[in-house]
Amino acid sequence: MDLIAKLEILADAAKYDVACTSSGASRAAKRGALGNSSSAGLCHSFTADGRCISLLKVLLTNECVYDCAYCVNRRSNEVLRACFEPRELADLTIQFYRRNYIEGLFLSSGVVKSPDYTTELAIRTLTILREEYGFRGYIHAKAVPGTSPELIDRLGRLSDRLSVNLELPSRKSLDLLAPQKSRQRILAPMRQIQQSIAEDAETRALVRKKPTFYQRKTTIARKAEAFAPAGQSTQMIIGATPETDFQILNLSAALYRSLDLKRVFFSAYLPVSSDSRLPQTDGVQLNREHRLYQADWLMRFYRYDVAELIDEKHPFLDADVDPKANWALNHLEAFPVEVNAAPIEMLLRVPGIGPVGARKIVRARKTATLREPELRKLGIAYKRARYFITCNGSYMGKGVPFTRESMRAQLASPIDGGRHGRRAGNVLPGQMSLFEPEAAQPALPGSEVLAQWS
Amino acid sequence: MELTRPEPLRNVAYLHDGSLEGMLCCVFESYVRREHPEDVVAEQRYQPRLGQSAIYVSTDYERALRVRRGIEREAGSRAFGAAARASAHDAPEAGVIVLDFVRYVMDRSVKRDKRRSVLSDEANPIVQNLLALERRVANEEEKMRQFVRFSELENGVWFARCNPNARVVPLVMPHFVARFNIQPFMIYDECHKMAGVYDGNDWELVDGEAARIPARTSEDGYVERLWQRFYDTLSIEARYNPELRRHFMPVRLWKNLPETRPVPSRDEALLGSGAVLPEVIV
Repeated sequence: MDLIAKLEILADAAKYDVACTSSGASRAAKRGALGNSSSAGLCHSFTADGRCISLLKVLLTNECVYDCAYCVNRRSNEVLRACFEPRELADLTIQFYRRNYIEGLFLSSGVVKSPDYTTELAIRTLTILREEYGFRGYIHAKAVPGTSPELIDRLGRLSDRLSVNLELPSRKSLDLLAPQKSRQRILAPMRQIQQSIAEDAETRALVRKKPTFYQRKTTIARKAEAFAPAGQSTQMIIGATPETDFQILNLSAALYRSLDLKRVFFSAYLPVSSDSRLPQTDGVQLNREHRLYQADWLMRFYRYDVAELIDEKHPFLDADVDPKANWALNHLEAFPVEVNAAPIEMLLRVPGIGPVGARKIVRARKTATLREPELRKLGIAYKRARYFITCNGSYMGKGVPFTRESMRAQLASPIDGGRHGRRAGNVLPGQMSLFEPEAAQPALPGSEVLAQWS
Repeated sequence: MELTRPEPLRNVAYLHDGSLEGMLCCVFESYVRREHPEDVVAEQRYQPRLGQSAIYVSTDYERALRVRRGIEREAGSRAFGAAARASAHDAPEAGVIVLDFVRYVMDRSVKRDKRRSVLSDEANPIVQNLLALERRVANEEEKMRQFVRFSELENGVWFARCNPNARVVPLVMPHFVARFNIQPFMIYDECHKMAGVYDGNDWELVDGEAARIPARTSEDGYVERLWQRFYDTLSIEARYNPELRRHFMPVRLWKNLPETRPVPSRDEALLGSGAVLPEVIV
């Protein structure tokens, strides 16, 4: 098989992986070696669906011993199979990198023979890149559940970011759709990665520490390669199983807290298989995915606690109002805030003011009194913010009564994906199939399926 | 130095050679002549207004340096950096925005403290304009870091062609020199007719039209086709959203991107007949 065909098959099989970030690791350039990486990351292209391409995202192979219902590469699916030679893939990465097409490599794989064998292949590829070619760009590697700890350790020292896919938001769903993957097998490598990163950070901190005059400077015999300096991430599929947003957000909050994850990615389920355990007629829940990401950002950059964003009584995020506006509408007693005096924590809670805007306000108000024209020029979303602020004592949202309902009408912002964007309000119908699967029962809602299962 | 001081003009434009030094000389000139020009632009991009007289200000490095030192003395080197970066933009209003900023920084009637921390005075319209312009240039730099594409030429040089809307090639060269220090390369800016050239050791800025460029290696065309195929494959049909793509990747830059050029049919390679794909027109 020639390389173009192989690349097409293996990129096609990897495209449902959401993470394509090259951020979080900073590796300075070195004379005589190719590449560097900066902590901000860099996107090199954007596909027709508007997602960024920052890494060469491919599978090492799409052969797989598992038969997970939601996956295009499951054993029972009839697709073309291909496999990269480690050297072939390393060469391709270098060729793309030298042309400034990509920021590095995202290496994932189906499971061939065993998790250990697959990981060994990945390690061989990365070793060629890092040691033979001296490549200093970004590498994101997938740790396959069930791999032995020694191999994960080696993989982590070769890559910038590791990720283990959580796949589905609950154990029940995992048992149902991916019976060969158990929760334990997924969580074990995640814990190991977390500990290795923590240990690594500790040693580095010790080495960096400035010794006092009498102390000898601590040096390490051999400069160890950092273990996944850009941290670890994970992803889960949304909408294939009946979990609520409440469960999903609490899970991701727990992951951030207990496993120190850098990112939790959500991926709206696309009907890629006709398995009867999966919803067939559902649209792609892109709107839901969007709201979940908004909530995720609020937790990571706006200092919101998950309990503030969602509770058990309203287990789904509001479709018409974003989670931040929703919080503000439910806590009108905290508003309006005075932009010329309020602390930054409170500014961050105002819909329409983000971290950048809040910092700008704090800087600018030192030298001038902020009123409407100044605020507009600072680049905050004044149209939204005005209902929640006062400028020098005068309320800016005049004309609309200060009640939940009337303000909600002003803030409602249905997600509009543009003229062509298939942002999931419009349900994308499932494809018509010529051959009905044997289990041609009407698709049951997920909860009933689960009830039958247990 | 003796300075001649002619009568100030009302409706006047200052023209310079397009370089940062040229721009700074215009600032100098406006103090010498005690004028506030309506336009400060590069000569090539000048569009006369009705009844406007134009003065070409020749570039004098001594004078440019004096302006630079003046700004740095009054407001610090960060303020000078912001002004320098902002003046790289092609927008016709860029020159006047920078001039206003320099005049504000040098204005003795404004408190010294305020001028020293001028960049954090974000509520001031003069500063806002400058910062907005600086941001536009910084964004264009980022676009170049993202979308410059190299191809390998027969003579071993890696060549890239770009069309930015600001003179950002000198600003992004350090990034590429650090990253691709093992390959001699050249980034040619076809809008401003200049090129950043790295010879494997050091880089310099060269002005002028691109001379005859050698052909690409045959392998280069193949890798480019691989990239095109990869790009096309990665898109998910159910999420098709061209507005979003245009937002991140402006159409004006597409002509220098291999992945947005038409590609030979997708299934050809899958048929596995070993058919030779037609050469893509460059």
